[in-house]
Amino acid sequence: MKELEQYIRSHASEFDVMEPLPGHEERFLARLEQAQKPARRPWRIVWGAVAVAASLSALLFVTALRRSDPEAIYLAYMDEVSQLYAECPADAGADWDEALASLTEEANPLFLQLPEEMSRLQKARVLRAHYGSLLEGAKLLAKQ
Amino acid sequence: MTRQEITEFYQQYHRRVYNTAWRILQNSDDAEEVMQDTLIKYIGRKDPAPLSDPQIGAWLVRTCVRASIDRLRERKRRADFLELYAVDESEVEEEEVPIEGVDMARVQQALQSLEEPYRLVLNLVLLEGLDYEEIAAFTGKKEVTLRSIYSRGRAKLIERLRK
Repeated sequence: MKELEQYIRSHASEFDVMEPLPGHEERFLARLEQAQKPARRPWRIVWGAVAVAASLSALLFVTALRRSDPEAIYLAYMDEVSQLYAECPADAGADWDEALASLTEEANPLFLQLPEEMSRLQKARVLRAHYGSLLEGAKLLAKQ
Repeated sequence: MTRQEITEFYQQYHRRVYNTAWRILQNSDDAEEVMQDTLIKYIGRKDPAPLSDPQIGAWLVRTCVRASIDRLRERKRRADFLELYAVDESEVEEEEVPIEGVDMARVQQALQSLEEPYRLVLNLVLLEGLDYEEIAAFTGKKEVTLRSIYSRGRAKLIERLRK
């Protein structure tokens, strides 16, 4: 038996008789290319970042509301909406995205439509009420 | 590695790695996937120290064996790995098989026709050149159990070659 074992060991490379199915090299190169793409950040880190960003955004929004700066209110609103998209569960589907978009997106933002005659303070009041209402609806939707 | 180097690397090692995986998994799709994983892992390794050809071969075989056994385990997760074919610890008496008249194809066929875990252990010892300590680390089984499986498998191999 020792002789047989020795025989097998010394001819080990001759046992490599199997060949992968045709096209294996192309499949390998495609897989390699996929593997070499920059890896996405782990979900845990992403969710951590989202949570921190959401807190900061909420803080900015509240701060912006306190200020009477129409532009700051609009930008803070946009940040809040972005956070809602980021927090959207991966399996939420296209309907959720569409509903959020319908609720929050403005083809012609109110921020740009307010009459120039209005003072900054008046504009700020209108924008706070308008975007605050939209955000309230969007947050309710996000909880569903 | 450049594209050219990757192609050369693939052509040099894919067959060896594929066959190692195939002997363990007995399935071409699984073997190809393990082969791809192994080669991609090598290409992406962070260790900058250059390896000689035999060292690369040894690294690939060990990585491939580990991945194949993991996959085998996954397949058999409901069964107790290797215990499924429990063997006693008794050593089998040494027998000699005359080499004359034994051709490679017949040995190959007899070896691959063995049931698990004999096929796995004999392949790892004889063809992949692993020692019992390494196989024990891969399979989580005691060396003494592996030696026993090897002895029984060897006896079965002789029996089949004598037919």
